[in-house]
Amino acid sequence: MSATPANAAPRGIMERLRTMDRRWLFLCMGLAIVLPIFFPIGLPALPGDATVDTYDAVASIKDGSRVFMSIDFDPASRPELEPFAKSVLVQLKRKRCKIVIVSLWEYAPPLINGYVRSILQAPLNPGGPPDDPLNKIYERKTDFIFLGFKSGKQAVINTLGQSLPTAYPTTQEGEPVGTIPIMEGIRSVQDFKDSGILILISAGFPGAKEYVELLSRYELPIVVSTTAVSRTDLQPFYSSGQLKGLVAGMQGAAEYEQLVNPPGEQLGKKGLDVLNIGTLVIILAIVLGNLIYLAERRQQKRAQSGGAS
Amino acid sequence: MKKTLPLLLTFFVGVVGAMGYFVPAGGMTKLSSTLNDFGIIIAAVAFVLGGINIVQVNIPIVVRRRPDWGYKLVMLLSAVAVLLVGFRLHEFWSPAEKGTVSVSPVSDMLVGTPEAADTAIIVVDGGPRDLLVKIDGKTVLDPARPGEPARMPIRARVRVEKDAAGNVIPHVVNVSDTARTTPPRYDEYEVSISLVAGGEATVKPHLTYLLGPEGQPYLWLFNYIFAPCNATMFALLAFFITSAAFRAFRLRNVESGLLLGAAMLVMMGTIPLGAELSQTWLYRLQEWILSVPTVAGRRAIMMGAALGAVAIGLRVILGLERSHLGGD
Repeated sequence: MSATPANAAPRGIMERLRTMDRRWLFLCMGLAIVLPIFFPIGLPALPGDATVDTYDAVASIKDGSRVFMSIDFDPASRPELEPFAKSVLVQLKRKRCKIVIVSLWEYAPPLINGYVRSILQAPLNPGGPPDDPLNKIYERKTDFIFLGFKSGKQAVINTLGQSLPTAYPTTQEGEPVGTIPIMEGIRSVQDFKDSGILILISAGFPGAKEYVELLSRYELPIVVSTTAVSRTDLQPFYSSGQLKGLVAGMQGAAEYEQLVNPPGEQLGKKGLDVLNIGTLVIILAIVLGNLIYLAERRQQKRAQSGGAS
Repeated sequence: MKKTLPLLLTFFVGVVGAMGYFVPAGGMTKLSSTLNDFGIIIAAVAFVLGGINIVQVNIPIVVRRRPDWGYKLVMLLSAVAVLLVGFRLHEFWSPAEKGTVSVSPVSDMLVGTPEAADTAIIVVDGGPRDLLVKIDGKTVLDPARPGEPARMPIRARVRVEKDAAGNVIPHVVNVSDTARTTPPRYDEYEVSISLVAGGEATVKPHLTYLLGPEGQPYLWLFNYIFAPCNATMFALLAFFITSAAFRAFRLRNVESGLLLGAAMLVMMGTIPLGAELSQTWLYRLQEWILSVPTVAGRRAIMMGAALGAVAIGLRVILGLERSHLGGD
């Protein structure tokens, strides 16, 4: 703490704010993130058109269809994408869909294995009737298969469009992909065109943008969940109809969660409160910064005009 | 030759790669697809090269105690640790015999008791105390069950039954990891035992501790070290953005004013609080900003970048751009 010299002019509030220690801002942001977790506000999310389109596209596929999913994100993007990933898996489980999962991100497999165990291979409605689709324990190779991570970025996507067994010759356990029941009749992702849908959960490169660029020539029904920052990259594809739906950021994920209403803890809803307050803090920081800037400018102008006269 | 061959290869790969899209004849598609497979293989090899490169660059720094050598050492040790636990090493040292079963026709527990006429004893002994033990599908030890203490060995009385032909129906003993741990730490052990009434069998399972991507050590490192560090780095952005918003996002001129106004509207409209306060008109406005002017600008950038990529691609194919060869 430095002592103010006795002859120094008292500092105005704007000057104090201008020279404020930035750690106060960090404290405000920290509180804005932490407090809503413990004291939730629970404002409902208004599902946007793109989110509703995604939900409808998944809802419109026939029960028991085979669905292709590419899950490409890491723990950093988990808060934004996990609520969608979990919700869409619950939605697919309700429809008794069979799911083929791949990943182009090396950090995604442990997350995907977690979703498989907690959603596909677990009864989600233990008190409900045994024939409830949510209580079905998905069998690997018959009801779902996770083919693992594959390096090669766009080259893998390109190959998936031509021959899935070439991109993934074997399962993670070494069985030839062509011999497992869920892959019967599937030669490439083009074979998901009539039977189901392609669901891409993507945090960046390689991801949904590359899938659309390389596979849109096959006119496949694709829906995407992506981070808020990637929305502008993918919005042109949604506007042009190349994407049937687009769920963007934590907001979109929370909206989707609201539409699906999966059992258990709803992470998106919880995150939305943090997003609300956190965004407000950023807006206030911008407003405050600009008030200081305008006051400074006025002061400078006054000083200049005073000096000139 | 040192330059001509790579240039010819580049030309060939570039032309075939492009023709694969525009000439759907069988031969061309297959050739293009084969080259694409080469790309996947090279990308996988690049991971190995990357690993070797990390070692080559960082080991001399550690050995010579250059600045930040401690961080490099931590990185190298972490890389080795993750690599080791990532391999399915248990498959190499897993013994062929996964356990032993010894059968005795007389059980000390049953001698002299009326139960000896139709009952036998199965003892499961060995391995960790918190294993899940099932006999004939019925759980006899489940440490995950509330109130049940983990204990080993366990002794179970089983009824000896015979089928219509008079043969003893064997009992199936299944020892696996408790459901408390998913995925399991150990592989599963199952054995079928035929016992006579009054007899006893001692099962000593040898359960292999699983390693590799589904093993607990790898998942522990991922869940408790990598994931929190990765998420923390990303989460710090919130603080930087706040600081940057306060210090740099200023209304200096008309252009920055437009940017500031659009950003504020989009931010307020995106969050439910803004939509709630404005009776959704703000939400509609931000949707319009994102779907019309933003898409228009983004499309222009994408098309410009695509045309630029085509131009660069042509220059590389024709050998006019040679920076990838390492020269000028």
